[in-house]
Amino acid sequence: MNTSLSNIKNFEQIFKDYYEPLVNFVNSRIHNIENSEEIVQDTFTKLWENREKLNIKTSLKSYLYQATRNSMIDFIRKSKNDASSLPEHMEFVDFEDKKVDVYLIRAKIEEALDTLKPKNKEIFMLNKFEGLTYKEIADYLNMSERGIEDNIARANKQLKKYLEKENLIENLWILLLVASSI
Amino acid sequence: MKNFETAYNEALNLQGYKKVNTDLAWQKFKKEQIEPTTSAKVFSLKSFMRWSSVAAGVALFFTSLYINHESTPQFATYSTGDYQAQVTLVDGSVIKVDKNSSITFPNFYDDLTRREVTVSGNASFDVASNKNLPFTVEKKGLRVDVLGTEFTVSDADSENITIENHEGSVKASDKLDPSISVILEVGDKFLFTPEGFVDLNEPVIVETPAPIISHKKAHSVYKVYEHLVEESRGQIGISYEVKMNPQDVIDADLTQDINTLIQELQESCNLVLEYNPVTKMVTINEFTAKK
Repeated sequence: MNTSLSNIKNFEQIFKDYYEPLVNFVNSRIHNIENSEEIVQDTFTKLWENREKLNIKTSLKSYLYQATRNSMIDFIRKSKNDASSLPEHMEFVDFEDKKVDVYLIRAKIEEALDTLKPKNKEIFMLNKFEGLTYKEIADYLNMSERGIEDNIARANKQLKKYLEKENLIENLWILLLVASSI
Repeated sequence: MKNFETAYNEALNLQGYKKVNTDLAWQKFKKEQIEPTTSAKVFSLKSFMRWSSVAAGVALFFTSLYINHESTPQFATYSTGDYQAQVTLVDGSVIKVDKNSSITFPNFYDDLTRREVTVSGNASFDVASNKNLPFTVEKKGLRVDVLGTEFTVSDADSENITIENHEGSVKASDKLDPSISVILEVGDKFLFTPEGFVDLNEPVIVETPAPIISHKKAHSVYKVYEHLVEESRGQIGISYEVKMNPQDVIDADLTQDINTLIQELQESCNLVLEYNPVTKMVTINEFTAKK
């Protein structure tokens, strides 16, 4: 029996850690957030149903992405009834842990954004997610360009510190080192 | 740090990344996948619509929640549809939930200073005694504090609530103004209205009654028996094998209190009473006029 998965509290933690990155991973391929959530719910349903007989040979993370990828293919097959009609830009072959980690980091960044001061967060998001330049933000918020630059530097520092605390940097380093040594 | 910087920047530059409500997704997942594995028996029994079956199932369900309470929310809500249900709480208190009603109650009592239940619709309570953890019931603007008793709260109409106490005593108060309150003893029934409490048991008081010297009149035995049943609020009953000639006529003053009346009747008639400590009822075994 896989005791760690049978404990509901552990399962909830895994769900909460991986749900958003997985949904975005799927959404980056099928471009439909509702269907992406449905696919990831399906992945977790299979994980829950098979929790006692599951023998995960790789890491849980790799298992989840592989299972999600399979659920995604199933979903598209069911909805299109023909796997050959998958959009051309779908990147099923280049599935790698390294790509997966980017989504995990992003999910943690999203979480960490709430630790920033509201103004700091707004400036950071305008620059990083809305694509506004320092000058555009400075005009919009009636601040100096230097002030904007300082704010973004401060936000970057705080976010990285948060990721460090969450041990993500260390884990990522190990993965990257392993990947580069293969 | 170059690799991390790259991954960090790549993460920030992910196009179309969307924040997802993970807590909501988890609740959905838990409701659909985890809870049915522990409560399947409850809901498969719905079709039977039988009190006992549903009661057993619901009790089993909430017991299982208690066992897993580390991962269970502190409060749960149970709603009935077109059937009644009986919910047994972890302390042994039993709540009978009427059709189209719902209750919210604690799955476990860790860190709670009282056992708090909220009612929408109608429900009856048989509360397990626990003086260290008072039991409170809230319904709209009404709050009821109990230590161990049986009582019912129900909608009298869209505005008013009826509260009826069957055992022990309860204190009912206005949630917004706790100074507006009443104590209900056994058999008491009150109506909670926006203006306050109305005692449904209270007799109409005649402010200037005429002095009563003697009200002894001839009544049929049956009439006296009816009076005893009524005045005792059903605590006095009649045995199936009672010796009674309903046509017998006896002299009795029915305006006096019931204890004095019984004492008088025992002297003037053949009145044999038997008290049952289990049912807490008095049964009339013989009631005839003395020859």
